[in-house]
Amino acid sequence: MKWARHIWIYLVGFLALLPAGLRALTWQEVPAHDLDGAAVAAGKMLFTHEWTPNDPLSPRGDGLGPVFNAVSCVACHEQGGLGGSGGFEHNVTMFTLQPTRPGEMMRSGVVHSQANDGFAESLKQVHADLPDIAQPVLRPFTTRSGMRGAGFDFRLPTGIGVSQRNTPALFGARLIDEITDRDIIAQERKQRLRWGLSPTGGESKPVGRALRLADGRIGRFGWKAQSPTLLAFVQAACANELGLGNPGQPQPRPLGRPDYQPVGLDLTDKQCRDMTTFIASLPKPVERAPEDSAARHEAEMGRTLFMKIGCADCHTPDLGSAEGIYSDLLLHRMGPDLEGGGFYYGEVIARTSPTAPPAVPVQGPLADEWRTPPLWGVADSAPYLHDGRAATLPDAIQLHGGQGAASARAFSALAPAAQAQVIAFLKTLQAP
Amino acid sequence: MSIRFYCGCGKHLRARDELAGMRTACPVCGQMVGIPSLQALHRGAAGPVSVEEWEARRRLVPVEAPAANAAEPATTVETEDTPRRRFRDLLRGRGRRGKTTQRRMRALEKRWFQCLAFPFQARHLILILAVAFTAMSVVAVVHAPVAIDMSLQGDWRWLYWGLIPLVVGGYLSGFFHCVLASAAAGDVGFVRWPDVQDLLRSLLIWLVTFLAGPTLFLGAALLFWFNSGDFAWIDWLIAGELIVVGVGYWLLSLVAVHQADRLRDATPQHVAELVRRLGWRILTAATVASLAVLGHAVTATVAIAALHDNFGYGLALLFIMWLSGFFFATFFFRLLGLWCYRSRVEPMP
Ligand code: HEC
Ligand code: HEC
Repeated sequence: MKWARHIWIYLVGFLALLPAGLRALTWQEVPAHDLDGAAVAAGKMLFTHEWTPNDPLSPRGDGLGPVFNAVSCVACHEQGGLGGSGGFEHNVTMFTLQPTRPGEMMRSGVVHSQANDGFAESLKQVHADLPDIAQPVLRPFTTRSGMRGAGFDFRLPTGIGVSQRNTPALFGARLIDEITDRDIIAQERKQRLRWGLSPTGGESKPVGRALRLADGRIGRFGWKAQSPTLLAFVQAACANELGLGNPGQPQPRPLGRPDYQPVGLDLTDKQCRDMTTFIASLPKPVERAPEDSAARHEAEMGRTLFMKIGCADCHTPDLGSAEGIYSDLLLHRMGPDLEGGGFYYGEVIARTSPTAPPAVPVQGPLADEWRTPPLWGVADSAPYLHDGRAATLPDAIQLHGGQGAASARAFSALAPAAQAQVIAFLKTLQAP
Repeated sequence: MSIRFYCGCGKHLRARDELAGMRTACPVCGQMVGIPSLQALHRGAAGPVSVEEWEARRRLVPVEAPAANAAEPATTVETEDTPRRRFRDLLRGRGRRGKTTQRRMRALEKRWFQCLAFPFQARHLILILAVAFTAMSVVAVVHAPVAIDMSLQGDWRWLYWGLIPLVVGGYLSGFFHCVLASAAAGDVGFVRWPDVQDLLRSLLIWLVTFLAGPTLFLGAALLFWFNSGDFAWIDWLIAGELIVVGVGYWLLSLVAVHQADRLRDATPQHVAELVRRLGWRILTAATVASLAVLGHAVTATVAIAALHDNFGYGLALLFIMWLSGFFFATFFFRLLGLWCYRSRVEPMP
């Protein structure tokens, strides 16, 4: 029996594979679960509710405010349906203060556009040289040399950064929530591998970086990928946009009144979860091919070009379980023109990556680092880029700098007809 | 079963069946000696070749001289001059037909550490290979994204997916193939530059032995790396273990194939048989060797990553990696090949 005599080698082979198999059983998976209809309805009510100070829905807190950006979620998230993106006029204004003395931390925060009586915020409270307004208007411009950018009507003192954030759409948020951390890290590894083990966070090659948060989770929501879960972002949004303190996030203190003490929490944990469930119930955006066959062909050609000129390096069509997301959810450095510091919604505490050598701390998002926004539904989410400076899709593409510069150049080098095909393809990515 | 025969020096020898009809170096005097065949080699032959017959043939066809020049009976010509035989001769370091290669006769290494001297004999080859592979890896790293794009778009597909892997893989495998084959045949310290035949055949051997086992473990390691998120220490252990098992098994099956130059020996049974025959020391050696491979692979990734922000440092590290990689691999293949040889042809008590 020759077989029996050599059976040990098969056994060794099996044992060698066993640990990997067992370990794979411990991998994080997202359990399938149905959304609770009652929670969806309750959440929808909270999402559309117009909050007032001492609101009956927050019996234990002070209700809306004292500082806030709007009176309801839907005031901003409204384009293309409930939970959609928001217009330029709802931009949120942020500031950063560079440390003036060594050992000091960088400070960042939001200048809220609205407030209850006596709590109004203004840029002047951030720095005396800034104007006395709460929501400056961002003006896109083109220099004589053709350089495009966006800026404010006032000069920024050194060490001060002011930037804005445009409201993204929430369609498909559940799918983003359900992507595992492993899939995002795998994407980071693929990009590194593809570019010859290039380090993440370089300034030219499209090699993105997964944001590792202090608790080990991977950030994925927000322009800076600052939030690891939908629930965490909702809690932060309640506090920062509406001034509704909750178990996940305290409400912000007015810039001019840092001593303000809230009476109690405005929202319960259940209310936050209901709102999250409602957002999770929003359908995912759709890819709607044009009826007309010639137009459909154009869009198909556009998709091929989109892959070919490097857009898909960052805007990857599928990511883990999220099909058609057109994003890698990684942070990419997008060049000095797109800088905007600060981590909206609280501090992102960096941790040392377990894979990096111990001496190299992994930082929170840099000023020019942005999460690749998912392009699903992009046809219905103008204006574009983090502060809405690009009114049209071609503008948004041409403003890609840094890691996105090469593919933006490739786009500009295309014949106008081919550029139109790319845009035609993007126009098929629509809100549900 | 083993074949009993004797060498020109008068020593009685014993060889394993699968060596029937082959030539080998006498473990005692180092001279080439033919091993009798057990079967009729061709139509018309009466049966197993006797020791006397073999002796006669040896006299007619001197080992180091071109066979065609010698007057020999028709019955022996084919055994000496089949393409397969010629190929084997090439591998064993004998020159092409028509010219003899000068060889320094030295004693076969007796202890494992003596094999450390072997790479020095092949230092020129190793140096050239290390320089070439360093240059090639730098080009690959810098050029990879462009190459991937180009190959995906089809312009140069054949170049990137065909010719380059063939040449690179061929030289890598061809060189070690020669080292291993010459050691397994009991050749004394001779290595040479692989030629086209070697390249193709060794590539085939490496590919087949790779597909017949290591793919499973190395593929599992790759999948594991991609899908497991940030590594905890246990993940490092698991990935390392998979790589060590995969590479170690690959080495063993390479040796198994080379000992009789038969591709079908790449099965687990034959590898198990090899281990059984050579004893557990070969497992130890394979483990050490694959740990060395792992170490070199880690160094390579560090070096390649460094290329992007500190080119000089990355380049130096990469060169050292290749140099030491080739050095140790030459040593290990020599050692394993010799063990293999010793387990097959031994002086009779
Ligand atoms: C003032 C306008 C405004 C209001 C009101 C508002 N949001 Fe937003 N929302 C934004 C902006 C701006 C962002 C992007 C912030 C960032 O990423 O830094 C955003 C992002 C989000 C995101 C993350 C989307 C993603 O894919 O990254 C969620 C979830 C969200 N908001 C939920 C809510 C909820 C729930 C409410 C009500 C409590 C709300 N928002 C109210 C402007 C608003
Ligand atoms: C290096 C990675 C990268 C590449 C390559 C890239 N993008 Fe982007 N893209 C981004 C990032 C990051 C943003 C967000 C930048 C910001 O908001 O400041 C963005 C934003 C966009 C937006 C605006 C989306 C929105 O919701 O505001 C569009 C449209 C877009 N990209 C299309 C493209 C196209 C088309 C290409 C190919 C020519 C491309 N991108 C290539 C990373 C990339």
